[in-house]
Amino acid sequence: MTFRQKNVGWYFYTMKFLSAILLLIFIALVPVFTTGQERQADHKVNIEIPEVALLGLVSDEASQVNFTVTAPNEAGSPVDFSNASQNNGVWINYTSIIRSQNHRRKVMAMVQGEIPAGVHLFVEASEATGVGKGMLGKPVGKVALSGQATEVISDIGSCFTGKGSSNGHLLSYELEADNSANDFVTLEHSQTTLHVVYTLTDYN
Amino acid sequence: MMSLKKYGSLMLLLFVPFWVAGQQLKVEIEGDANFSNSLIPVREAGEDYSSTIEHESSLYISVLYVNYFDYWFNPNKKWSVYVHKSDIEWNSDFTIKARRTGNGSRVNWFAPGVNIHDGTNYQEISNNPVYFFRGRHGIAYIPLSFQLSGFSVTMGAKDFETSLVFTVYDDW
Repeated sequence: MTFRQKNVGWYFYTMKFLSAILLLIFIALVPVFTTGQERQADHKVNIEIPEVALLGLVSDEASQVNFTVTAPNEAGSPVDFSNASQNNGVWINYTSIIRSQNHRRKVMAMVQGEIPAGVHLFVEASEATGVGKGMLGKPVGKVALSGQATEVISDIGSCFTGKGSSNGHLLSYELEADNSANDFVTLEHSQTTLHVVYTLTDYN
Repeated sequence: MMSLKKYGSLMLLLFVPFWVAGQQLKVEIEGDANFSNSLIPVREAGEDYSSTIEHESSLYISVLYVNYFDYWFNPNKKWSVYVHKSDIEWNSDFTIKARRTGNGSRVNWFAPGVNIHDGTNYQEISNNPVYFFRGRHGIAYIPLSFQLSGFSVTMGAKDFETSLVFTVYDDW
């Protein structure tokens, strides 16, 4: 056996031995690596509450409001508007959910149809009552209705009024003669039907 | 003779990490726990949300041995699972409860039968760990159900999120 043959044999056995050691070390370390697993696990639970804007009118009786202006009993007397104020138990209910804490909504009212000449139709919402919670709206007061949307309730945040009559805002209507006009000049005998439309809308 | 001793010691050394690893359990969670689909929308003006929603979730928890050899060598390990929540964006009026709706299944064909106890009644999850249920050896896919209450429209439109943390402890 030459010197070179001896060296090759020694090299072969050394490498074989080292490979075996490395393999053993690797096998030994496998479970150690696997013990790095967590004894704790977490999972996200989520719920998304979406934006909502719902408005409804409720009444125990018919939601129709009838005004009858009394004719004068004596010649020369004015037309009597003193009974032209009605609260027919119509309530505004709403549910409002807003994303921004600073954002607000309002209830607007407008008339569909033509208000008879010589008269004004007013509406006033009461303070919110009932089972409602949250940032309920504030009534603006007595406002004249027209074909243009008018703010009736302001500053509504995320809230609910409760459902049904005695919850939310009670609406009162009033009919008044137009004092700014030539009074009787524009009044005429007629029967008119109007629709008052309410909308829950965002402030711009 | 010498080499037999040497290899015997070596083999013993090799099993030390397996034995150490045999003490280890891990917990895994799979599935979904999103309540948004369970939320019944407000349909009529003036209404609030119904205060409680139940979520028969498809969330499953598995308690497993870290080392697969333990299913043979250490099959009867006792453990208990604790649960708590870690709020990300949450409201203090919310109450979340969890319960176990099933027993889960065997991890593999040679594992012993399922042995699991407690956790079948709803219990509140707070920010402090509370005991949930206990069992023996590995059990896979234990189904969980959740109940969420206390939410209202007054909270505003928002995405709420909390993290449920399950921790497995040895012995009970």
